[in-house]
Amino acid sequence: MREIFLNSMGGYGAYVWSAYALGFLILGLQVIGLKHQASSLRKKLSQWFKN
Amino acid sequence: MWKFLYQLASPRSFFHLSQKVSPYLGYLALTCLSLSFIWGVFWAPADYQQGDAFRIIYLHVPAAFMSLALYTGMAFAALLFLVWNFKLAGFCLKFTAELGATMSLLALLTGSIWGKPMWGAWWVWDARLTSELILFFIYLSLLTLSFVCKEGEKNDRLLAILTLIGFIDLPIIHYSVYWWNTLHQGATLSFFSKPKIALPMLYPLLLSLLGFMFYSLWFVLAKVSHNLLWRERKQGWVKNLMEQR
Repeated sequence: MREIFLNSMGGYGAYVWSAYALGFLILGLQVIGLKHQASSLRKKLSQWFKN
Repeated sequence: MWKFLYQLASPRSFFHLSQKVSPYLGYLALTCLSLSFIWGVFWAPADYQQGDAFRIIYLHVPAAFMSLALYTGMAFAALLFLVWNFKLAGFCLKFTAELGATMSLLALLTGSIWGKPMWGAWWVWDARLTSELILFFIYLSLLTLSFVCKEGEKNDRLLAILTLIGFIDLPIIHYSVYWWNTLHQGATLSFFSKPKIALPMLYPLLLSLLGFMFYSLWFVLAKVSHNLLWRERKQGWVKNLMEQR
């Protein structure tokens, strides 16, 4: 598996896949953060209206 | 355009418009980004000099482009806020800076990964790289300022002034490859000249750029509209909205 990962992409596999993995990780974390913030804001808002 | 901007200036209209448009932007971003990455990584031909390492372009160039485009948008919003007192434009600055910082970080990291096999180093103090790093620090300083200061118009005004001061870095980034001898290559795409990239490689790049634009719009609209509800919580329309839900 490691060999396939490293030898793919004409020997540049380690660089290309790492770049895409990093890209997906950063964008994915950002989307998760956004969803999390949205739900906590909704809770905060409904709490504020109850009080 | 001014009529549209005036309509958008009302938090209520902005919220309702963003709720309508957001889902479409999200799906468009997902479709464009998935297609462009699959096309770019598996179907586009390899570069005759850089081989398959060039495929990082489909992530690096759109991220770098968006880091500049978002800052340009922020400078425009800062002008709208400072000159015409569009309060919503000032409110958007903080959230756009958050995305801009992410985009410039992504551009720097993917550029570094691309630079290692091509230049033999993870980092060089090249004019393009250094000016992009400065942009990342400008974004970070704007974010730090917005977190440190209390929310309000005063904070937005300070943020807008600093945004306009930081705008000076943008032409430096763009022209750095012409003003200095740099390792970084010149612009691949330009509005005024023919692209310096073969068409089978260009199409997925354009699609990726489009995907990043849709993603950025979706992110900023979602972020601003959520926070807008909290800021406007004392207004009647927010109360009505919460009761409906």
